[in-house]
Amino acid sequence: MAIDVTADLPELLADFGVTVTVGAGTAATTFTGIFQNEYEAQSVYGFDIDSSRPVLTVRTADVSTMTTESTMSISSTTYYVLSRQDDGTGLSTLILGRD
Amino acid sequence: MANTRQDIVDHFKSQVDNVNGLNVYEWQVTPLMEAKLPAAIVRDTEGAMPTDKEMARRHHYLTIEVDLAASSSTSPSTVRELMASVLSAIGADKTLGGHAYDTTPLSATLMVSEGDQRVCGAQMVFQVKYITSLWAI
Repeated sequence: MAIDVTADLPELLADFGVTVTVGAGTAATTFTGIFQNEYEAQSVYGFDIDSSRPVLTVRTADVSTMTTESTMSISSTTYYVLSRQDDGTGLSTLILGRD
Repeated sequence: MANTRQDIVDHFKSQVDNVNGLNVYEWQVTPLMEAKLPAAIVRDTEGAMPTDKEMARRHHYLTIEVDLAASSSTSPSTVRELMASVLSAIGADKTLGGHAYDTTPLSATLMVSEGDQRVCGAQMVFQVKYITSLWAI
């Protein structure tokens, strides 16, 4: 049976989502996304450097105005958008970097 | 058993270590924690050994690579500064404590990698020329 991710998204976000804050002060807005930050070694020449790959899965509607370099706060850490990948079904994956 | 190649690598490392704030490693092969950056890894790789047929001695042309890395959004400019500092530190004593008769920089190349942090790396390649007896390194 196929999984309808879009239909299940509200439940997934409620169970696994974290609060994402965009902007600051009275202008700040929040939405919920599923945040993953798995280990990934970064290689530059002879170096392997301990690192991770932060990825946020969200409703496309929540990030419609976000572009590369847009910033957000997740658990008190500021991230910026390296890449926004809309899947066309209402879901978007944001590849993030630390500010 | 003491050998000139070891003396040269020791002196090379200590001269790179003179660069302020740089953590220096030799032949580091396991991943480094980001907190250890900026860092340099020194590797003595290829050692060509053309024989001087006129005398009972051996010339050595030793390649030493210095890999540099720094993190943060300003890392490319940081690494350019590190490259300049390493070049200056090696140039301060091209004989590496009297063990070599010349040291020459051959190349300096830059690259950027994007993970959760931007990391900029550089590879500098040097050639160290020294002489030993025929059956020594």
